[in-house]
Amino acid sequence: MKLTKEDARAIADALRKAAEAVDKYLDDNYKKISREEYESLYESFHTIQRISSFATTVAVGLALDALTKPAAELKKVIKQAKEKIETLKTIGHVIRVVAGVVDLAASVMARDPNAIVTSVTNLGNLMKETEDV
Amino acid sequence: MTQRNRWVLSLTASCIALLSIACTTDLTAVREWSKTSLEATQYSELVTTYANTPQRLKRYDPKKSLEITESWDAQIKLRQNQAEALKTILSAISDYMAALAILSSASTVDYSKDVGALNAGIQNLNAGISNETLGAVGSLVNAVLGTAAKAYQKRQVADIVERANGPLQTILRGELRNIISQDFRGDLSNEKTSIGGYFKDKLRVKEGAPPTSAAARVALEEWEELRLEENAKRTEAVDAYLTVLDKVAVGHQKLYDNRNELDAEKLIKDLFSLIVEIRKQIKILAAT
Repeated sequence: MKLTKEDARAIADALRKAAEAVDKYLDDNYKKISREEYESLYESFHTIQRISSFATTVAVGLALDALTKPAAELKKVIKQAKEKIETLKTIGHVIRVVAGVVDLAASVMARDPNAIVTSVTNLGNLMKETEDV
Repeated sequence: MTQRNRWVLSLTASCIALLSIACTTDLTAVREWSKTSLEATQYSELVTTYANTPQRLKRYDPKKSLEITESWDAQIKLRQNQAEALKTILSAISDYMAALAILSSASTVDYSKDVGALNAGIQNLNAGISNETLGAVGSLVNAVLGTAAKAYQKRQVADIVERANGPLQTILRGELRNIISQDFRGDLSNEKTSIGGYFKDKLRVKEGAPPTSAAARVALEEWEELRLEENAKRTEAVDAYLTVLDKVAVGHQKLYDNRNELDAEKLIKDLFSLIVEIRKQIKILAAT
């Protein structure tokens, strides 16, 4: 039978409680038991703790598997949100491009060669930004 | 009425219609809540604590056989990989909150500077439009555009909230919460028992063993206290982070439930009271 995250959590929890019980027993009885008994129980205490910690690692691993799908879905939404932000930014950019065109038209109408060159350069830069957006 | 005047009049009418929609389009509460949630969910120290727990437990494990050392090392490696995966999930939540904050920000749809540049260009055309008319038209264009953009922005925020709520609630109320509430907390409880067991063992006067000196006893007691304090702070951080996750989940559910009226008075009130509660937890997290 396959181990579930709930099983792993139940095991970790039971072992944790067992370790606490051994610790309490040692605390209450260390003066009454032999050195060998003490050492053996103290070693058991650490073994139980080790397995409990490992069971927690297993539970987290299994829980992470369950998070993969919603996390991937959320990432998709983040991508959509970023696209929407870009769209909103593009609106401002489009206005700037229109302003650049109008500026160029004004320079042409004024027959000012220097202004025309500047306007064309500015418009070119704006168009380049459009490609980047 | 001249052609130009008709155009200005028609523009004014459009403005009034759009302004009536825009007057109720205020996403400040959504933006502030998203920013606060972003700040709170960026805290990833808990994951580092979880990843490093076997390293700390190893310190309290007196048995240093090769097999046991290797078993701890294998667990440390496993947890480091899990920590990366957990951080990726936490950063997905933060990324989402950041995107929502930008999407709902007023500056995202503030085109006044762009319209200003356009007006200046039109003025340079010298097409016979008076500066006064041009100024009025510019203000109207600005208002219309701002209004339309805000209405569009509101729809986009609602759309994103609708799409994100399912996976976000699954993460916040589901396994991420279980991992922090049960696994992280259990892990810290395990560490607390380990600390107690380790120091008590050193302090116990055991049969046939030489007694510990008074100075060593004081030093050991102090170390135990210090380690237990660190453990208590980590546990406090777990509680604070769980509260953050719960408040973020509640807030987003409220956004979802009110996605078609994101500027509803009750929603704004609820979001601001959640912001206050999340801020309290941020302070606790910062102190741990």
